[in-house]
Amino acid sequence: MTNHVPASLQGAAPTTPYRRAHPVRRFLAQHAPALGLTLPFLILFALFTIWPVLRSLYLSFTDYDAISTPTLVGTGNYRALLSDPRFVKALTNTAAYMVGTSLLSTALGLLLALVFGGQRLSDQIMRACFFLPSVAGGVGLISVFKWLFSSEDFGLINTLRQWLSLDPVRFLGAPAYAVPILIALGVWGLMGYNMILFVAGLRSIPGDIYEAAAIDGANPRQRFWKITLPLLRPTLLFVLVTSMIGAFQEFFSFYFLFSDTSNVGGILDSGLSLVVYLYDLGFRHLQMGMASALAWILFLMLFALTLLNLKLGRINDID
Amino acid sequence: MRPPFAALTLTALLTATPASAEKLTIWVVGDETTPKIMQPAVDLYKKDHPNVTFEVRAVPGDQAFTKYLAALASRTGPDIITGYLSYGIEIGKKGGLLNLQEKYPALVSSVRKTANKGILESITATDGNVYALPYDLTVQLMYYRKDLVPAPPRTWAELTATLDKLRAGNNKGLVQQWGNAGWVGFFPYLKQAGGNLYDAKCAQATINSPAGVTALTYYAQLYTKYKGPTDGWPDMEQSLENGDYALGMTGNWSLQSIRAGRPKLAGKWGITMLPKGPAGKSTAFEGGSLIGIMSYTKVPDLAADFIKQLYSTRTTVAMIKGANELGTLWLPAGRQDLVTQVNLPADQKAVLMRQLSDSDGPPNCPGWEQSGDAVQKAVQQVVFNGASPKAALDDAAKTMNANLSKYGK
Amino acid sequence: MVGERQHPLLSTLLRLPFYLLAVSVMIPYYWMATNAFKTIPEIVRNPPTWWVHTFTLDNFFNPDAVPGAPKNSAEFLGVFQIFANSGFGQFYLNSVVITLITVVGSLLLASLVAYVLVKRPFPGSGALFALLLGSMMIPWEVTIIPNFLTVRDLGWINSYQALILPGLAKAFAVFFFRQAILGIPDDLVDAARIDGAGELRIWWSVVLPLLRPALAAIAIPVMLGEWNNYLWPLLVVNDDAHQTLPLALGKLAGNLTYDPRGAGPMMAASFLVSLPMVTVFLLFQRQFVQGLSSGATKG
Repeated sequence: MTNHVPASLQGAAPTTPYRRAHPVRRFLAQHAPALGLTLPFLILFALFTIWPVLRSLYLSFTDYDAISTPTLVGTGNYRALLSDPRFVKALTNTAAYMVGTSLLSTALGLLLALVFGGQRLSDQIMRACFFLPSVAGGVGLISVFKWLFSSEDFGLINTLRQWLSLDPVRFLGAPAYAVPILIALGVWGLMGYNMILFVAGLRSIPGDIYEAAAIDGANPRQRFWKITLPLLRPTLLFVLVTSMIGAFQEFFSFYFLFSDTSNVGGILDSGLSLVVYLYDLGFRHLQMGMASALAWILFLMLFALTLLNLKLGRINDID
Repeated sequence: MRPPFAALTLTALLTATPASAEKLTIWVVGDETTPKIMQPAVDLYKKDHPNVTFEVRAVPGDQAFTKYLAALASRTGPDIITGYLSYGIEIGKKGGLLNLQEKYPALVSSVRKTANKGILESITATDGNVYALPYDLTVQLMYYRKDLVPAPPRTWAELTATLDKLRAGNNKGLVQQWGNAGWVGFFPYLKQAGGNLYDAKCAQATINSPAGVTALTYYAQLYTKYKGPTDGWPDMEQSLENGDYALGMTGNWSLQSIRAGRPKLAGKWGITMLPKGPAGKSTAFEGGSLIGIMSYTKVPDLAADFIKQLYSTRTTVAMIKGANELGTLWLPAGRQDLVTQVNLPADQKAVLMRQLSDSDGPPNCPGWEQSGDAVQKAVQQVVFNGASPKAALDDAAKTMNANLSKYGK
Repeated sequence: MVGERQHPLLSTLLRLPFYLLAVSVMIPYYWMATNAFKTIPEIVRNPPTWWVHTFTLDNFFNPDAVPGAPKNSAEFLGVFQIFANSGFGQFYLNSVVITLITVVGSLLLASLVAYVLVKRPFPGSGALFALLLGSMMIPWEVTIIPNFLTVRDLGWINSYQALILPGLAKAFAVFFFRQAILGIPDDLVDAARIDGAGELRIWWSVVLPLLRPALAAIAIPVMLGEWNNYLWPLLVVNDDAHQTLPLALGKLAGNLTYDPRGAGPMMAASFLVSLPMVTVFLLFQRQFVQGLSSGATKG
């Protein structure tokens, strides 16, 4: 805002002591009531979102153990992380988990929404069944999962395999199974949620478009590819982006399936995710500076991922 | 909630001020029974010092380090903590725990006389400083089915011979629980072969010595050739109960939970020492917890006096008895001579005592906390990927040496 | 409606795999819910039992077990007896209160901001919205360490405000409400203004009632996130008085390691923890779907 007023007007305007503050006062008079309403939110937002982001950026360039004062180390933390094999392993695990979980849970969610999207009681019951895992997660169910996948004949899956005369599989005792099991757990928890988002998306497609298409003789398959899917694209993009972001930040299942008091990540770090590694660095090894750097790398990657998604979404919009 | 916010914050503030200087807050790592084990010590102390009040809380194992860190960062919380063996040096060196060697040398030297030697070595820093004292301990033991293994194996050769025989007879053999397919599981074999993680002066890693290679080669075949379960924490008790596995290895806690929770095994199981390796030792890994004083406490002398009392015969015996009544096993790490008071059948007690005198804790060398993952990786590279033991251990040694110089200043 | 009308090709036969999928999806929950009512010997039994053979409530409260009684006795403490002092009931109450305050508080605050951004924009409100939008991509891990330090500096360790306030300003809720408010005609707001209603009044009596579906849609994820929040309470709460349910479950899970019999109270606790969320979803499923279809997924 500027205080410069054309000279011609300066003479005409009555000179008051408050003249210089005038635009600010006018701004306040006009917007104070509205601004006042946003104030509680803005204070909390500044204190618990903006300030910590800046502070963690600072910490990421320091060596800090939360007990003594931080000392600046330049980009040391970032360079150490990028050459750390555990970080690379955590990154590849997380990426594989993210791709698997988001694609499968999006596809299954869409499929389920198409099948059980109706208003009938049976549809509502089926939706509730699929949605249940996303509201009833938690440590308890992870311990059930642990038991389901236990090796020998203790676990339910191996008990079933035994009945079918199949050899038991060491799901939790072989590195190759870690990510697939985590993806199964992730899809289990997420597909019902995505299903609901798709049901909502399908509902907002006007019915008369379908009727017109039916009159034109389009068969159901054509209607799906030519009408439903294009009109569903915003929902699809939303579901995919939120699933990816959520999967990228997964902590809970990795932590409770594959860590114990002395180690996180399970066999050869096959169950190590970026956030679990961050927790391990920051809160079990007191390397807060390193953990902050990892958090910022995570942030930058999420940022790039989201931009990429939005860009891809745009490109689709054009054709 | 019952009291309003303000009142709650107020009470929190009040209890944290030095006005109530005669209060000791103690956090013990473990489940909800662990505070009850310390209760006899609290009761005895209160009898002599009626003006002191206590608050003893349990902190679950996997949350403990985070909680202590949060307490240190906020300088509020417990005066005394118990924690895993590595906590002492790790938190102490950063100034989170009082240096007991410096502040209460008499207490430290009196505990030195009666404590378990392995634990004592683990928690004494290379510069001689002690930030926390031994509180309790757990040790690895071999469990076996008496009906399936008439003569439990005493040596490496006998172990593999027993496994051959068991597997030929359709028994799956050995299930290892504590430290399974990781460094804690490999550790005893390394010691039994005469190897060590570091040399005596913590000058360099010796894990890749010939003894280390022998140990890892032997250890890996328990999984590759003898197909031991590789889950992070296999259900050993269930395996023994089913009879699928005739041999098991885990900590002494199963002595109690088998008796309490596996009535079908009654009379059919026993324990024995870990098998002797080429060096003629049956060394087991021992863990446990230590007890220390937070550096921010306002009542260090009171805390030290309470800890001193923990090691008196009267208190230690009362705690063991209390634990016996609770149905758990509490092994005092600071008074190895009194372990004989625990409630166990005579034969099991004899094995336990012998195993305790041949057991070692984690190393005290600088940078070990940051190197454990590298040893873990070396072991798993061999077990799961068939890597050469020598090459894998060389890699681990490289990381250990790098951390030695990085953290050894 | 969409399902069967546009896709008659999905006959009951073709739906069969989906019913099977539904059954397998339910298995973990079924197991948890039934184990909560099994006796401990039945839970640790191998092979497992497929339904409850001996029904018991001992996993919740075992009248035959006395706190402090030997652990090796046949009786195991129920979940309401395991924790010292006020125990599980207090944790439950804490979780309910904290979740309720967070949901109501964050929805009200966010809808206020969204209302101002859409209907009463001020110079700089565009930039503010961009800032909010950008902040949605910040993972919570970035903020957790500094936030812990802030809470410490404010002296809020062990307090309800430490559990509630840091999570109250939710940018994604603002974004969601903004989309919904864009659909409210300006005339409605202007008419109320001409009638002399203040901003606060317009927001409360004109905008909020129209936002009801959007409120329902955003309440469920906010509620879930808060109800299951583990790491933050772990850091800022040390005493029993402020303990929440996920922490209690974490403790019970830790006990399992050394004594598989802990599975009984663990499953009972998990069952109790899941109940409110399941109930809320079953009751509000319709509003939830409706709110989502009118809301921001079209963004």
